[in-house]
Amino acid sequence: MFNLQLTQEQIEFRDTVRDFVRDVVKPAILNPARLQELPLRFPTDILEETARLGLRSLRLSESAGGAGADELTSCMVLEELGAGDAGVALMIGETARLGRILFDEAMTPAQCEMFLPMFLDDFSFHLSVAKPLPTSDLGLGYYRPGPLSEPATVNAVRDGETWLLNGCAEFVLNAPLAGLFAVFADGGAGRNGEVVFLVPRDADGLEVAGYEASQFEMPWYLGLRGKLIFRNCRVRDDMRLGEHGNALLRDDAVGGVHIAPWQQAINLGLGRAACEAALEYTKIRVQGARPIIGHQAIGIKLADMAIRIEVARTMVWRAACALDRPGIHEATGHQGLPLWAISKVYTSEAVHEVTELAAECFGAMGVMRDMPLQKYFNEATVLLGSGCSNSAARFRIAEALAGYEGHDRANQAGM
Amino acid sequence: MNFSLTDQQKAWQLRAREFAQQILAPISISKDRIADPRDTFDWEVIRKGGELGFRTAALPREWGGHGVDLVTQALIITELAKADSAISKTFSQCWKWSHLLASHCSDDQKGRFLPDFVSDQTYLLGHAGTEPNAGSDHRMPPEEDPKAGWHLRAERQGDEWILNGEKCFIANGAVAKLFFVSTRTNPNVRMQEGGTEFLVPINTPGLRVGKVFNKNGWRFYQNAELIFENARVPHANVVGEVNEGYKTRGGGFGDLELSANALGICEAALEMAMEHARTRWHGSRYFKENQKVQLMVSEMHMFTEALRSFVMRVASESDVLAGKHTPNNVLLANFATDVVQRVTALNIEVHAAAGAYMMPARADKLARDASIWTHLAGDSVQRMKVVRRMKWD
Repeated sequence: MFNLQLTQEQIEFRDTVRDFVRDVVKPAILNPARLQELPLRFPTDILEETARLGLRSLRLSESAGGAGADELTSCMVLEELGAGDAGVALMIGETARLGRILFDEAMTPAQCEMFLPMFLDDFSFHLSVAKPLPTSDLGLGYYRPGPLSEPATVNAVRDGETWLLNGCAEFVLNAPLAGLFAVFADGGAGRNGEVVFLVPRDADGLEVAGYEASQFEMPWYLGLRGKLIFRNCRVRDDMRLGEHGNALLRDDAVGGVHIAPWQQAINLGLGRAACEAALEYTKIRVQGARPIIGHQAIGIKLADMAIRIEVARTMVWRAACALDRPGIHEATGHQGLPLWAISKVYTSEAVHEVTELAAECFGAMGVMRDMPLQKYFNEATVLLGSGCSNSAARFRIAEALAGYEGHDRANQAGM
Repeated sequence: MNFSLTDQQKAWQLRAREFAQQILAPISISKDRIADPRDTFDWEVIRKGGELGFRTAALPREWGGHGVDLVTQALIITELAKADSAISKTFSQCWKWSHLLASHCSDDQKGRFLPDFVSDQTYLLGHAGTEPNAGSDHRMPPEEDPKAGWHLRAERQGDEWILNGEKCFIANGAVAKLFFVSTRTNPNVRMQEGGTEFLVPINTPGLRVGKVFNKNGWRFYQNAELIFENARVPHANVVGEVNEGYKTRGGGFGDLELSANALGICEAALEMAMEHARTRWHGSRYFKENQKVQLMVSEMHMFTEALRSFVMRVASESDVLAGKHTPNNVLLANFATDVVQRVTALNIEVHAAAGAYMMPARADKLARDASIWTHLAGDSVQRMKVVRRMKWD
């Protein structure tokens, strides 16, 4: 049995963040003027407030100066943050997760000494990983041999005790605000020659550019992403990371099939916020001679929303527990079933539906830009199709069921 | 059954298609992106469309319109909506109220308003019904609360009526020159027995436009508050009889209009999805060679064709029944709601299937425009109303 009883510590942590979202994040984010901005500006002010709460070092070990939260606690906290603003939550979540992977697992003591103090002291210091994008084959390589990700688009050529980096990495999460990057590069021997470097933002030869909406296309992600452009950027050989770090950074299912469901926790938070708004409104809005919650048509919607949120959370927590307590899952489930993929598909589809149902409860106000419901609907639509697609996730599930082994080690989650 | 179009119907369809491709499509995204909802409108487009007959298409010939049949109206709406759903609706909103003008207004009223409507290419029509406390209540009045429904008061004073109250979300609210306005002349009885419909020109003293609503979709379409502060309307502007306003509720045109519009959106989404699948490739395969893509596009085709059939059947049936509407009109609108939302979602999925960090602006706009349908048609009230009208024995 997996234990869903929360510790006192977890409850307090969650409640602290919940109160912060209620008192600081929501009033700012749901302000009608801010909701109506076009184009929407990313709320860097709220991101900084969240950083001041200490959440950038949520996953960093206590010995390194962090909160030492495990995956489940982290998912709970990120759900709360997601209920405030999903984009802010994604950036904090990415920095938090990289904080643990880099400082606790991948870096050498010398590398840690170089960057950890800066990370801890500066609230605006975020972390970022530039890794290969998932393969753009729409068949997503299902049941056909071959890699699941593209080769790295950054080249690294050895030059004595240094390397020269050239090329671009696209759509890198947190790039516009990162102080430190972990950069995947092609070291020359094809996929086996993949190397990962630590590159500080101010490195000579590194430019960080943003993405803008045009007449024809628009960014399809939440949070901020940027493009890293390397032009003869010189990096010392002692800034390389080892193989263990590479695998963790690539979101490989190291030692198993489990990848953290933290993005689904954020998506879930967004859905929950929409649900809560609808519940509150249906109790006070009177049409048809009673508060509309008293009508069957609304009752069905509220129940359908609750079912989706509760089931989604159960799956997110189960996937999180599989990482925190690996032995437990092996004993209960189908061996090797990618819980992250099941959680990804279910949560994103369920939350999208929830935001539609919630918006309908508000009548015309569900589509008004000065009100929250359209924000939840738009963001759920983006999260449904952004990054790793549900098609890819489904194919990974099918391959796991079949025990297919034709793909080499590569970027599984592609997130 | 003859499923082919007449030459005249085809001619209107092609004229609409040309206007849509040349004038509407190039401005569709940029207008949608403007932050202030008042500035998303474009009078030049209205003027040009008006000159081609799109504003007055549905008005009977004897009153200066083109008198096209409902099948033709559906065809035009679809062609325009394929380029921009909200602009299409701006034109067809005039037809909706043209129908009412023709069927329920007196010759005196027609004589006073129709000549201007016909000759002025910026003359748009609207209807003011919804109020902050009358959304579902005026569409499905609750038996347990006879006071529910319209609250905008109309009180007789000699040869005039004095109107007080407010309407919200009114379509073409910020741009129309003439509105049908639903009022409560007797608040002590049900809305069905105590309501009166008035013709109210925008320059009526005491009437002003309030807030213009900032919507997530249909951003070109102007929805506004209308505020009545001792607004004075002549008795000659009562439509039909006092306290019989409920009888002026339009026929099924509104449902057909929304469904034909939804069909246009579906066509646009389908075209985008096919183009994407046909032209993108990876390795040695085009995207369309993938089963997953084929399944998605197949579903989009299936629903679009089913909607097209349903739209044309209802339009053709309505022509034969001389505009009287059957439950099919409402069932059609409910079906159109489900279809347009499913097809636009599939279009996004086709574009995002490999994992996407950029999305065509048009795919996003189609989905946001589609999201409006739940708030016009196909919501729970609409689905319950239609079934309550049917014979159960």
